[in-house]
Amino acid sequence: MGNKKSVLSSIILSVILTIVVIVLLTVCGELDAGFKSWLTQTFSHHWIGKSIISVLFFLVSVPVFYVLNLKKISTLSLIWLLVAIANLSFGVLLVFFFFETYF
Amino acid sequence: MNDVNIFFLVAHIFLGTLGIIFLTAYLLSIFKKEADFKWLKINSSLALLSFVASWITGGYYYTSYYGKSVKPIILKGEFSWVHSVLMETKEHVFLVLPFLTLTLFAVTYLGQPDIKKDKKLSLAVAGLCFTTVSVALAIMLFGIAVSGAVGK
Repeated sequence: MGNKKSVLSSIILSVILTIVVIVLLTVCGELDAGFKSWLTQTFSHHWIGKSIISVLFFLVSVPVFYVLNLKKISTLSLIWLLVAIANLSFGVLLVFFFFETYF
Repeated sequence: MNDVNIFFLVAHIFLGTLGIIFLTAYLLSIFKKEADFKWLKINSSLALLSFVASWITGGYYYTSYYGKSVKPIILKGEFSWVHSVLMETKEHVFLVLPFLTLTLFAVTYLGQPDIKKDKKLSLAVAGLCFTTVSVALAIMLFGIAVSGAVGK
């Protein structure tokens, strides 16, 4: 079970950080036209670029966190942290695009 | 719009709706006194497959047709904010959804004995599932608003 717990903690922590990366890529892409055009030129579309970067980030961070052996972090705390980050990311993106449109 | 784009749009909507149905079934199952892990595993697996497939089909439609043909029409119309606020939020929050469902899938498969014994953990998993369903429903409503804004 200990090994399973390490894998689970690595996955949840990686998902939390991947969501943060997605929000940062989105906000930076909107604020910096050069970065958005780099994403478009490199990946054919900025959305595809964000998708590929987020998947790659997740795939790299899972083994990294697994090696770090995160058994001591409670799964319960990580799940509630993920719930908070998921809700926050939705709110941040909605408010950001609202302000970008009207202000 | 050609037949390929129609197929991808319909598949995106259909698969996204299926994902919401599977997650709702998961949410109802986990609140049972004796949670049936066979159904929790089936529902989390099918929800993950549905959202990943909806991600791919929606991504194809968005990058090959929406941006070139639908977006300019909405931006010229009375409800341009539907694209600049709702669609922009929808397309980026949609990137998060498969990862949330993947977590639910992983927790169900790897945390099974603990979820059965630990009420606090099963409540946290239910909270994660509720958040995922809520985000998916919001994305669905945004999609309906985008469809309604075309040509208005």
